[in-house]
Amino acid sequence: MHRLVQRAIEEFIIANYGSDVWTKVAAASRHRMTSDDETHGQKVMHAASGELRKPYVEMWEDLGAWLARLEPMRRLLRFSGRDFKDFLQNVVDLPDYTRMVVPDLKMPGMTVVTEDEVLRILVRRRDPEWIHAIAGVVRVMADDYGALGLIWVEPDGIAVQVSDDCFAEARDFHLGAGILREGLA
Amino acid sequence: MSGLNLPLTAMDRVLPMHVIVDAAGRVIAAGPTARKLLPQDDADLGKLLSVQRPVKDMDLPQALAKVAKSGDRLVLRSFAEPVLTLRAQVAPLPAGQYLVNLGFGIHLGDAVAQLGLTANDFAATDLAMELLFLFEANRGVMHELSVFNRRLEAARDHAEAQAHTDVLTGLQNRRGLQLALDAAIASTRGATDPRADGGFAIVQLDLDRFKQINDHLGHAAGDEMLRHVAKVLRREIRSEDCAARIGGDEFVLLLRGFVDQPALERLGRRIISVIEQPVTIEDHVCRVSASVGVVTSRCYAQPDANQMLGDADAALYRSKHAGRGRVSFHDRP
Repeated sequence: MHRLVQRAIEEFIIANYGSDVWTKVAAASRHRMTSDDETHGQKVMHAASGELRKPYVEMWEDLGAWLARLEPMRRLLRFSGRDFKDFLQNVVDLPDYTRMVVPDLKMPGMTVVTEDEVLRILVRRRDPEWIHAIAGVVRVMADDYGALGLIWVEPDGIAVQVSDDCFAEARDFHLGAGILREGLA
Repeated sequence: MSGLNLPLTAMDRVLPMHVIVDAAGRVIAAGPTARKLLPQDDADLGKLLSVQRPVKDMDLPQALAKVAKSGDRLVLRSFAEPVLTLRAQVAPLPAGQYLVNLGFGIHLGDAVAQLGLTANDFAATDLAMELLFLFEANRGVMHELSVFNRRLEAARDHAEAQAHTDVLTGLQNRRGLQLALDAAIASTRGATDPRADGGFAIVQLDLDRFKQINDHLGHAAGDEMLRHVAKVLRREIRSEDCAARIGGDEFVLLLRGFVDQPALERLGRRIISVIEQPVTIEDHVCRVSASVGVVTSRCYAQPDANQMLGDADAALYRSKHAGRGRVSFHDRP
């Protein structure tokens, strides 16, 4: 698993449950910072799920939600769309956006299908980890755009029923805010 | 001549940064994003923007005519704050007018921040959003990777320090001593005569009656005594010196720039007298002493680590044979 994913998992556990929990989880999963094991992230999350007595897939969903709430990540996600519906349609571009910056992070491809009032994000590899992490991201972004949506996980992806696009006030998003901090150098 | 007669609304949507000017550079129409740059209607473009290229400070009408013909890019800079640099593609229109399509180029970030632009200000074909995304994403990833690298470095430093450290006492181990000794010898090599200024001393120290503690009170007590001696040694040396445990109860001090025999003798005696003070370990009052052998780099034309350690050891054994609790020096060969 990619180092950045490993870092995210570590930071997520420390930020939400404290470094004592992380120490236990790291020991239980024989965590090594430089592990090249493809399934290392899963092992760590299984250990965390056992330690915290929380369903494994819920851990991934919380990870996705936590990530999306980090301001730099929230900004990157907000680049994906003008409103929540636009964001959902453009989610399919996320793997391409990601590849521009982290070429070796193998994010699964996605397609979006709309049926009646339900929009489905189908995740190609059907990895439960990715599906649940993306579900966490989608939940937080619905809040961020101020949209009221019913969101649930299915075996092959995430389903969203957007009942009211402008339920609440969207959080601020200034395109230039990320530049102002340090300048486009 | 065939051509399109485009309504301005179509122009606004496809080229939101376009400006149509007359031959004198007066604005006739402007797209919605361009209008954010040009506050007044029917403004004189030449009063708002200075020409940077094709020729710096060229009159705008002259520059327009020139690039409209050549197809070269026009580079402009705003007079007023915020100072923005713009590039433009210029095409001639009928009736002496020009179509000037503006762009931010590499100054996109500044422009977006200063003008408060949003995704709606750019045409769908514009790569502005992708460029801004890349900039922010790249910065985030670089930051994460630098955190990762720093932590790897810290882990490596820690492992390296451990490899040179005696786990029991926290002093250097034989390998740590070897490295310090190599460095000390290398620094004498620069001098024309290693016996001149500088140089260093090796103080080898062996505990007396240590075996009795191990035999009577057990290894835990023995370890406690070794840690105590390590603490004494660390206190007696300077931070640039090196203290090592190289075997059971054998210690070595490497003292840089310290070759004065009487001073070394005083140091040796002081260390012995501190070590001889009784220590209470597990309710038992324990007494050990120490024998010391000293050698300085001044004794050698070309100091050699193994020879010096051997000579220090020989001096140490002379102390032992002379009745323990003593300091002996290796004499010049």
